[in-house]
Amino acid sequence: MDLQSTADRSVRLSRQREAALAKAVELVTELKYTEAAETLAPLVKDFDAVGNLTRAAEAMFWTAYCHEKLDHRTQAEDLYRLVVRKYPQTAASRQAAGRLSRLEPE
Amino acid sequence: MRAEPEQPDGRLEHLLRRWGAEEAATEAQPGPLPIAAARRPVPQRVKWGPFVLRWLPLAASLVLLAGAAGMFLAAKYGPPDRGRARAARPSEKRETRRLRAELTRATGELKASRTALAEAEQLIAKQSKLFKGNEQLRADLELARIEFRERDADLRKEIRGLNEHLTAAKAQLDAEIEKRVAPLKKTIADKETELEKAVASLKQSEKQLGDLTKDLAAARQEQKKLRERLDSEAARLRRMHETASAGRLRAETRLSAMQAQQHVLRGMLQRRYLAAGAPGAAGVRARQLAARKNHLLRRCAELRRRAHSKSARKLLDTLEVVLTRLDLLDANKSSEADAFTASVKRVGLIPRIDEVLLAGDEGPAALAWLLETQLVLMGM
Repeated sequence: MDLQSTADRSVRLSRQREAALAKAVELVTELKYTEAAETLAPLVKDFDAVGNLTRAAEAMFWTAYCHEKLDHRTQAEDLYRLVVRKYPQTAASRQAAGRLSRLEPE
Repeated sequence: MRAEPEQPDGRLEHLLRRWGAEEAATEAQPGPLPIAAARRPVPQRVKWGPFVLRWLPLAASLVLLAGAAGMFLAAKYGPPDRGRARAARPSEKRETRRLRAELTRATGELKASRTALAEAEQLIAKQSKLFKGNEQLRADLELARIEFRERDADLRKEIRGLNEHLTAAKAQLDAEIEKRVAPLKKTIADKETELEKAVASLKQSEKQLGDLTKDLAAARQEQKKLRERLDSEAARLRRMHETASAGRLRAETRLSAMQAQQHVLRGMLQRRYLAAGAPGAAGVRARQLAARKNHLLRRCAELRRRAHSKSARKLLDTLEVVLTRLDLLDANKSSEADAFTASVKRVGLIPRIDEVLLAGDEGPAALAWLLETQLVLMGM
């Protein structure tokens, strides 16, 4: 019974995190970068904590993207690099590498 | 000697007659009016008294009778003087006869005097009664006068008090009236001033109203002309509108046909584009592969730097996010695909791309990129 409730709670929390990430990405789509970055930052730790690396990588990528659009170039590059290094096998890692290549001087 | 005895009797008669005449006159004379008599000071008369008045004539008659008897006896029984007595006998007889006649006459007068005395007594009684009545009337009159004076004094005093009270009340009333009237006067003055102002304002308003009436009449004339022109113009516009409506209907028909044709062409173009970019793939995966193969994201960054308008830059920013989300999308999860499709529709990307394409303000590379991006996102 405890295991079931723990699982239910875990599922519920997972859905809450997914919804929070989807909402943050919608904010990015609406070009509300500051608000989106504030929402995304804690989600990285949350996804990391539960071992959802794909979503953790996406959250970190979108955080870096917001910083890039807010002209926080150093922070953006650091986060892109972190995504590439920390989550190498993810689509976010590939996107981060592409963004990083366009940010770094040729 | 003969006249002397007659003189007292004559004087007495004369006195009695005079007294009787005076009494009769006094009795016959009407008494003074009570008020006039009361006002006039009453002279202090010598009062004989009823007793004296009653017995005085009788006493006088008795004295007169005694005198006559004395004279008769002296003549008859005097000292004898024979020589002379014989010589004087005829004269004594005459004297005796005369005295007898005198006595007879005196006796008659005494009777008359008694009758007069009785009448006088009656008169005296009557007069006494009248006198008493008069005295009572005078006393009553005096009492009434005193009461009247007291009453008059009281009334005068009361009138004086009332007058003083009335004067004081009048003064107080005047003060009160003045006190109450003063603010009313001020209010009336203020109201009059306001009224004058209002009248002046009314006159001004009337003048303005007159001007406005004239203007209104002119405006009505102008309005009438304008209405006529408007009606004419409306009729003309109605005809134009009918013509335009017919043209619009034809154009809409043609546009619908062209849109259908365009839709078909776009569909064909999209299929060929996706087939060229992602051979053998379908759905979200085909769109992801086509976008990657055609480097839409990298080209987007270059185009954004060269975009002319702010709206174009904003659209490119949004499209970059959308293409990035498409690239990160897990094609195996339909829920993610559905959420992505809903977001694209909510943002209204396809119509916005059409607007920029139709405007034609951007360069050929940008237009080509927008068209490719529309082909990738279309139909989702």
